[in-house]
Formats: sequence, C-alpha cells, structure tokens
Amino acid sequence: MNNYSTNGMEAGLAQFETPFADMPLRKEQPEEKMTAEGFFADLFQQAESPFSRTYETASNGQALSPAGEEYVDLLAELNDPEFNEVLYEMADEVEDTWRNKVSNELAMGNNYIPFATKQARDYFAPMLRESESIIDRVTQHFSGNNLGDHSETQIDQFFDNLEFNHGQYSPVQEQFFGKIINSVKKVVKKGTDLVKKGISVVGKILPIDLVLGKIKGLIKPLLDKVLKFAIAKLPKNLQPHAQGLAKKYLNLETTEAVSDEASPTENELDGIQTEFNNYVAQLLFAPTEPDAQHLTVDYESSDETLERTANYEAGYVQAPSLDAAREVFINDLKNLQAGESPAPAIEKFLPAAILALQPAIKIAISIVGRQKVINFLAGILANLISKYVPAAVVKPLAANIIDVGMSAIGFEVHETNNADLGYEAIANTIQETMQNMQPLNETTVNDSQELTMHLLQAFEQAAANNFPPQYIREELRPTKQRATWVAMPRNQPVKVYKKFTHVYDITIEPQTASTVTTFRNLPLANFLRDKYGLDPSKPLKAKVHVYEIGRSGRLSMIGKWEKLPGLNAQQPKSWVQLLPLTTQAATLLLKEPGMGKEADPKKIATRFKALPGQRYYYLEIEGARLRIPPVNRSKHKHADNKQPAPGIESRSADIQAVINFIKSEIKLNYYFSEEDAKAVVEKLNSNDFLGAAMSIRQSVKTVLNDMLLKNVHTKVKIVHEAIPELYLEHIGDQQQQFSPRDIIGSVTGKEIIAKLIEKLVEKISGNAYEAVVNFFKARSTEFKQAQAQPQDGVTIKLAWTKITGMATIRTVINAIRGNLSLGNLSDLTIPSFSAPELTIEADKRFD
Amino acid sequence: MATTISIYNSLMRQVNHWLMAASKLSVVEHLASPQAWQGIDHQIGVMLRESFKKSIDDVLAQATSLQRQLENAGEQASLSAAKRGVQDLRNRYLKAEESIHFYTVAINSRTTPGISALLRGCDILCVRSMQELLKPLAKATPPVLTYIDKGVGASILKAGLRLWDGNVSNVAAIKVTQHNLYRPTAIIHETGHQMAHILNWNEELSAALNNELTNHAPMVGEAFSRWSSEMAADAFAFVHTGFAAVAALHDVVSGMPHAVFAYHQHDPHPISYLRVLMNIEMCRQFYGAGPWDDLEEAFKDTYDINMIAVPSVGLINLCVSALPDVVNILLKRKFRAFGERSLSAVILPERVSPRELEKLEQQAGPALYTSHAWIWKECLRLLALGGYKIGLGKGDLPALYKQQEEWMTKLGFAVELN
Repeated sequence: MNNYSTNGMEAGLAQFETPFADMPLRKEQPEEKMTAEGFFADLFQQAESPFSRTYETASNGQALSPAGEEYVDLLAELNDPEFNEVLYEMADEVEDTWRNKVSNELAMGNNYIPFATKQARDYFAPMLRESESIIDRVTQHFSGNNLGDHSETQIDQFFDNLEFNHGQYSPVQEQFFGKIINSVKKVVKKGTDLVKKGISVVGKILPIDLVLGKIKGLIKPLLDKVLKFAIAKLPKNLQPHAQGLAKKYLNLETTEAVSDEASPTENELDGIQTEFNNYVAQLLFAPTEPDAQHLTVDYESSDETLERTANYEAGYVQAPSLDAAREVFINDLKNLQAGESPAPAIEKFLPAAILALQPAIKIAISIVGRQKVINFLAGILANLISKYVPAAVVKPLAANIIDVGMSAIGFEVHETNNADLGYEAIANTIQETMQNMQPLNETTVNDSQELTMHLLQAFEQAAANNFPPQYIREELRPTKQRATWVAMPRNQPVKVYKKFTHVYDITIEPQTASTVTTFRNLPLANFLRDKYGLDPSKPLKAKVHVYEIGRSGRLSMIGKWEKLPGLNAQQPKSWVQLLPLTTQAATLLLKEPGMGKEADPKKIATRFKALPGQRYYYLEIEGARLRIPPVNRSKHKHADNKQPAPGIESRSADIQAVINFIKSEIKLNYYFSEEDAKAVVEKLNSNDFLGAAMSIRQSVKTVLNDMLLKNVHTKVKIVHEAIPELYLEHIGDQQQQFSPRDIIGSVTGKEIIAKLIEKLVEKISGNAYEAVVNFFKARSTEFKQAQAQPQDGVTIKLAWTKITGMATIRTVINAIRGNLSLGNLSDLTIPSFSAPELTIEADKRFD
Repeated sequence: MATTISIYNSLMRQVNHWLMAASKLSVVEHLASPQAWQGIDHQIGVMLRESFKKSIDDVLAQATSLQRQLENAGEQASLSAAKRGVQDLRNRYLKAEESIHFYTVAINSRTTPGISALLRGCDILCVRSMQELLKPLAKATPPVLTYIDKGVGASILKAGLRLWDGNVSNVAAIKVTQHNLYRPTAIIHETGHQMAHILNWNEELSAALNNELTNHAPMVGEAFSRWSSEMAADAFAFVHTGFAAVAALHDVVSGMPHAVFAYHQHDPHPISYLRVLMNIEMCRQFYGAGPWDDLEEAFKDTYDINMIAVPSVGLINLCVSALPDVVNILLKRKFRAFGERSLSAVILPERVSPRELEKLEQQAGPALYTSHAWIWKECLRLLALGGYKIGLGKGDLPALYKQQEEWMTKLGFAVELN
C-alpha cells in the first residue's frame, strides 16, 4: 500500500491510476455525470422573452440627471478599443528598454523593479513632454475664447489642421499622441456642447484651459500604469475600481466585488483606459478647481490605494515569486540524496504555486488548514514523481526531452549534457497540476478521497503535457507525435511561454481556411489574405509551430524570443501572427484535437487579452511576409507632410455596434480590410455585379454580422446611463443587485440585458445588410473612391437615429439595474428600423 | 642565426598584421552604416553576417595556426613553410575582403530610408518573379539583395556560386542601374539567370537551339546555342513584364552602331541588333501587332544593316530569319527544367499583354497605385504596366516615373525593416 498520510488526512495512492505508462493500471471510480441540459433549458426558458411579462409597477421617469447622461455619453465617446492596443504595444516597447540589459531578473532580486522603472522613465520622459506640449497647444487655442462660440465643424477643423513637428518617435508613441489628441478633442467638443446647452444641464463647468491643464497632469500616472502593466504589477482590482468611479459619479450602486476567481490580467488594459477616461470625464464635470485638483491627486495615488486595500484583504501576506520558488524547487530536487523523499521540496514549492495559480484553492485551504492540505497534496505528488527524481532516471528523461525537441527548440550545448530539463519537466508538472486543479470547496478539501481524485486528474493532464510521450500511458497522450512541451525562453530563468517540440507540416485546404476561425471569429482565410496577401482559395503548405502562454507571459513575448523566419525579435508586430489553437483549429489543421484548448469566445475576441494557459499557433509559410502598409496610423498631421513609420500590420475585417439609448440611435460600423475592399471594387470595375454582390454578402453577412452576433459582449458599445461599463463583458457575471432577480428566478440582470442587446443586434444587422446592398446599387463610386485612398481598408458607417421604442428599452434596462421599478411592459417590442444614414470613410473608423 | 630571427620576426609581424586586419573586418557594424543595415531584409542581414563571419573565421583560423607554427619553428625548413603560409594567408585575407567588400558596397547603397524602401521593393519583385516558377517545381527561391550602381546594364552575383574566397554565396546580389531605378525590368532579366541556374535550363536550352534549328544554317544554331544563357534571361523578363522589358532592353543596348552589330565570339550576349529583334519577335508572337512594330521600324532605321559594313552582317542576316523559330523554342517548347512544360505555359506572357494590363488598370481603378493590397498582389504586373507606358513614350512621362517610384517605395515599406 502506497500511503502518504499527514495530520489525519489519508489517501491510498495505489488505488488511483497515474498517467505514467510504467505504473500498474487500475480501474477508475465511476464519475457522477452532471447534466447541463436542464440548467440551460431552464435559463433560456426564463430569459428568452423578458418582455412577455407584465410587471405592474408604475414609473416612467429617468434615473439620472442630464449631467449624468452627458457624463456617460462622454465616457462612451472617450472609449476607444484601439487605445488598449496602443497601451499594450507601449508596454511591450517599454519592456524592450530593459530586456536586453538584464540577463537574469531573478538574480537582480529587489533591484529589478527600480532598474526597470528607471529605464521606463527614460523612455516615457520625452513622450510626457510631448503629450503636455500637445495639450498646451490646444489649451492655447481655446482659452480666452468663449467655448460656446466654436461650432463642431470649427473644432474638427482645428484638430484636423493641427500639425506637429516633434522629433523621432516610434510608431506606437506616435499613435499614443494621436489618442491623447483625440481624447482632448472629445473633451473640448463635449465642453462646447455643454456650454451651448446651458447651465441647466450641468450647473457650471470650469474654464476649459483649467480642465485641459488638469488632464495634462493625468498623463504621467497613465504612463506609470503602462509600466506597471509591463512588469505585471498593476493592482488586480483596477477594472472594478475604474468602473466604480463612474458608478459613484452616477450614484449607482457599487457593490461589485471581484472574486479571486476572476483573472487578474484579463481586463487590465480595459481597466487602465476606463480609469483614465473616468478621470478625464470627471475633470470636465468638476464643479470647482479644488475638486479638479483632488481628482488629479486621486488618480496619481489610485494604485497605491488599491494596493493598500488588496494588501489589507490579503492580511499583508506577500505572495512569494513563483519563478523564484520554482528555481529553488528545481535546485532542491537536484540536491536530493539517494532515497530521500521529494515531499519536503514540494511542500516548500506548493504555497507559491497555489497563491500564484489557484487563489480559489487558497481560500478553501485557508478554511481547512493550510499546512495540513499542502502536506497532503505534497505527499501524493511526491509519490507520483519520486521515481523520476534520482539522477539515474532524470538524466535519461532530460535526454529524451532533448531528443524529441532538438529540431524545434535548438537547445544550447550546455543543456544537452545535464539533467536540468528533467527536473524542469517535474517542476512544470507540479506547477501545471496546481494550475489544472478545479476550484475546491471546503467539503472537497476535507474529503481526502475527493481531493486525491481532483489532484490526480490535474496531475494526469500536467504529466501528459510535460513528459515525453513514451513516459505516458498511450490513451492519455494528447498527441500522436513524439514530442513534449518545453518551457521557454531557454536562456532565461523566468519562463514566459512553452513551445511544443513538434513542428507540424500541413497543407491548408481552401475549405479548412474558410472554416477555421481565429480571433473574434475571423476566418483563417481572411487572416491569410489580409496579413500576407496570400490566396487561400489554393492549398497552402505551412509549418505549424505551437505555443502556450505562461503565467507571467503575454502573447507578444513569444515573438520577442522566437527565432523563426517571420517570428522573431526583429520582425515588427510578429506576435500578431499567433492564432488561437482552439479545439477546432487543432482538429482541422493538426488533425489532433487534443492539442487544442477550448477558449471562452470573450478571451479570443481580441489578441490583446490572451491569457496564461491558452495555446496559439504560428504558420510558417514560405514566402509569406507580414505586411505593414505605409499608412499614417498616428491620427495626427506632421509638419512638412512627414510620414511617421507605419508600425501596424494590415488589418482584417472588423465590426462595431454602438447602441446609444441616451440619443436613441444605433450605429453600425463595417470595416472592410483592404483585401476585402479590393475584391469588391475589382468586381464592380469589371461590371461583375453578381461577383461584387457575392463578395459583399460574404464580407457583411457571413463574416462581419457573424462576428458581431458571436461577440456581442465585446463588439457592442452600450451607451446607457445605467451601464457605465459600456460593454457587456465588463459587467460582472456575479452581480446580484439586479431587481428582477426575485421575479424571474436565477437569471441575472446581465443575462437579461445581454439577451436584449442580442435581439437588437440581430435585428439591426439584418436591416444593415439590406442597407449596404442598396448603397452599393446606388453609390458604389463612393466606396471605390475610399478604397483608392492610401489608407488601409474602408469603413461603411450606418446610423439609425431617433429610433422609436429605444426609450422604453432604456427604461427597462434602468429597471433591471435597479434604478427604477418596471412599468407595464406588455407592449414592449424590439423597435423596427427604417433605412439608416450611410457614410463611407477610408481606413478603420470606429466610434 | 641572426637571419633566422629576422625572418621569424618579419613573418610573425606579417601574420599579426593579417590577423589584426581580419579582426577589424569581423566587426560588421564597421562595414556598413546602421541605417544601411536597417534597410535590408532581416533574413538577408542574418545570412550575410553569418557568411562574413565564416569568411573571417577561416582567415583567423589560418592566421592562428600560422602563429603557432611560427612559435614552434626553429629550423630553416619550417620557416620556409611558414613563408608560404604567410603568402597563403595574405591571399586568403584579400579574397575574404573582396567577398565581404562586394556585399558591403551593396548594403551601403541603401543610403536613405526612401532608397532602402525602393530597393526592398526591387528585392520583392525579384523574389516574386522566381517564386512563381520555382515554387511549383518544389525548388527553394534564394533571397535577393538589390543594390544601386553606375553603368548601363544590370548584373547578378548568383546565389549558390563560389565567391572570391571559396565560400558559397547564399544571397543573390543584383545590381540595379541608376538610370533604370524606376523601370527596373532588367532585374527580372537577372533573376532569369538565377532561375536558369537553379533549374539547369541553360544547358537544356543550349542543346535545343543547337539541335532544333535544323532548317537554318548550322552556324545559326551554334550561335544561338552559345547565347542561350542571356536569351533565357530575356525570355524570363519577357514573360513577366512583356513589352516593358523589350523597350527597356532596346534603350540599354542602343549604343554606337558598331557596338550594336558587333559580334564577340565568347560573349554570351547575342549581337545587340539580333537581341532587340528577338525580343520584338516575342511580343509579336504573343501579342500580334503593337507598339513594338514601331519600335522595330525605328530601330532598323537607326541601325540600318544595309548601311553598315561589319563582318557579322552575314551571320546577322541568317539569324534574323531564324528568329521566329528561336522564339518558338525559347518560349513554347517544353523543357525538363519546367517539368516538361514550356516557359510560356508556366508563366503566361498574356497576363502582361497590353490588353490585359489595360484591363488590370480598369479593374483596379486608381487604387492600383495606392492600395497596398493591389501593389502587393500585382507588383510584377505594375512593373510591366509602368514599363509599357514609359516604353510607349506618350503622356506625362515624368508623372509616370514618379508613379513608379511611389508604388515601388510603398511596396518596400510594406515589409519589415531589419
């Protein structure tokens, strides 16, 4: 009997199956099957038609003051999904300033952060000066004048004609200036609008030069947050805090607490932007100068405040660095004497792994008793791995890993002669086991059998990923290949991603290219056409490299460390070529479903939110070159017609919907990539109207509308006084405060709003398609002209205004979010839409 | 004894000299400006650095070995061997320097971001022209580094050939002449050389010309057979760029009459007079009547064979009558090199006929020259189109040159910098 018992907890390991091929096989315990069908059927039954019910309460008023509406409207104006991209790229670039100067950040210990900060400050200093100078120029123009004297056109003209003669900045820095200019423009426009609307709307606003002066003060803290994002030191509750700012301003309830289950990194960039936009908006609405001053001070110190709160909640327990603990663990394994148990080393390592990877387990453990559970887990894990730890075993293990990975990884000579890779595989397995553990509750943790089952299941998967296949039972191997996962980069102590040691040789058939979807549901065929100018209607040969992001990694880091043709540190934007390896992609491209990981659509809505544990692939195609078209992406003019370096890859099709309940209008922006637009124009010019119609149908109906319907949470901006979060994805899943909950059972308010928005989007997209078709019948020349502009792609902008019925839905949402009581909704229907106003613009122009 | 010491010292000093020189040469940053390095494709940069390193390492290894040999040399006989070694070392250094210098001059021609982009555009055009043929035949396309130099004609240092120092070049270096920078169809002629080298077409073509022009005098077949390598390159330029290549070639070879009719026995180039007419015949066979007829008329008027007295007139006249058959072999005959297909079946010259180019312009509209998608996809046909219009010599020629410059620069800027 292979028992490991401690503190009263006991589990017989031998009764469970291990993933290793050389262990005896035993029957698994039958699992109790959960039936999800009933749950979902129930949910849909309740949520399908939220309007069919009649709620007998009377109120048709509105919850917010006009100032509140204006505030939300400004927030929506300021929100720019591309701003997140710029922040991400900036974080990436700022990290480059120290990456090559640091060979071992773990060895630097406490000196690492100050060193990185110093490098970052040097990078940010000229940007800060330039941003301030930009704001000064705007301030100079608008101060002293009566803001109300400026028409919207005049303001647009002023900003359109602004020319800058600043020095040499990188493409992303230039884009940052463009975003700052845009934010300032939105503030000036809203300020002008408010002044025109008169004092009744907002009481009074501060002189615009004072507001802009204070906004200037927000730039430095904003850049500091970018640095913190780069070094993974942003407070993890930034996003809810940022949302809370709006809610406090709007007097909405701010009861959202972020559970430890939420990924801390998921919404960081959104959080930075949301927080910044809220402070910018509040500055415009600040009634007095001291209030404005208070806001800037508040923004400067918000991180510290959040950290203090987080530390207080965590009982001031500092989480040890997982990377450092991992290094110690590997060394401990190396130094084990013959016959010595690895359990103590695992016991030492587990707390760091649990804190970093499984805060959910942490909670359960803290209830039951930390040391007791850790000792128990460590005991089982020690039993599972102990036979691989002795030098005589670990060396061949390392040799096997090198053997299966030499061609893909290209190990250094010093690595090929020692056992480190073997110890690393063991450490990876333990670490990944913790990562794979399902959330545990107090009961599970108390039940040793149950806990062992959980652990074994997680271990099975972890071992199969990190040990060479011959060590793993055949049925558990996720791949047919003689390959395993190896932590990367090899020459760095901190591993940021893993690489699969087999490179697949595949042929992408046209059918596959149009079926496999990538980020935001975009077909692979579009990606290949847009990014490389390839023709996916013909079979394409490719080598597929497979990666997995590590705990402290970002997708862009893979591009920094790989040395493949097209995917290397010298190739700008190389990382945008990494695509999500979903089960679908793994099945159709690699013919190995087990290599894929099913991803939540929200997490693959954009590549800027890639999360640890997700898998990606890179297609190495002979002759394929990532195109970075020479287009001015900086969104501002340069003196002497100077063109800043382009810096952004050719874009693919995209869509955005803006549902503005305050203005009772809906906007839908269809972005045609340059390739898509070219395909349409080419057919129009050849009088191939049927072909053009087919291309339009393919772009609008098959790709863009589908993208919208499958990404309602991320692609629809909602402008509503009760939804300052702007996007469904930002509304916490666990919000309990919605009032209809008691009426319609377990369906949350978010789900009802989501259903409502989905219905609206479904209807509007059908209407939009018809409008686009009619547009091409009558005004295709405009599209041709836009496509002939040197910009990248064309946006068709549709706007429905004064939509009747929107006000009722607005009230319903207010009621759902607890601001009002529901009125009689028996007559509530989804509005019908007349023909929209349609405009065409070159480039990607989202609102 | 004193003599031995002085010889030793002299030899040791020389070894040190070449050792120091090689060490200096190994600092690639000293060889070309950072801007120039940045202007070339990353992969080419990596390959060239590796190649330079290999050349220099060979010299350093020889120098170090010689140093050790000298340190252990006591006898006169060993010193004599060392003397020979120093001579070898000197030669090896100079050859390595020659190889490296060639490429660094090429790299350094990328003087400004604009010129670099233009040349990267040329690199892309070159690679694209070869890929179209080589990829279906499962042959790898070598990277291309184009550079600007003076002179009338373009040239190539092919990938896969031995360099001065004995190492094999892995990058094709193609010279673009200053005067043809904005209608560089000649670079496609040069990639034709590279393609023919990779596919061994020259030999096959030479044999076909020698054996199959049977209804002409034997000297005709023999002559064309000797010119096969240049004819192959012309044919390649023609299938990719049509009349543009023909007009550009005409302008390049239209020198003094004696040069146009001159025959040099070991020159792989056909007699210029014949070469122009052969290219015009290609147009005629694939496109029928067209502006090349006017070009021929003007050419024949300028270079009137009846008015010239050169020894080659007889051969020229015989060859002129064989041109239709020659073009037939060149473009329509199947070759093993192309997988038993003809060159014109693999790359269709019709795609760059005036009619198709006009259709392209009409299909794309003004976006043809501004849209990165069009430029990327149709860069070779854009080269053909621009060259065709310039070849016609009508309209706003400065604007046409400007247009060429602009789209080529856009093409170059569309890919990563080093």
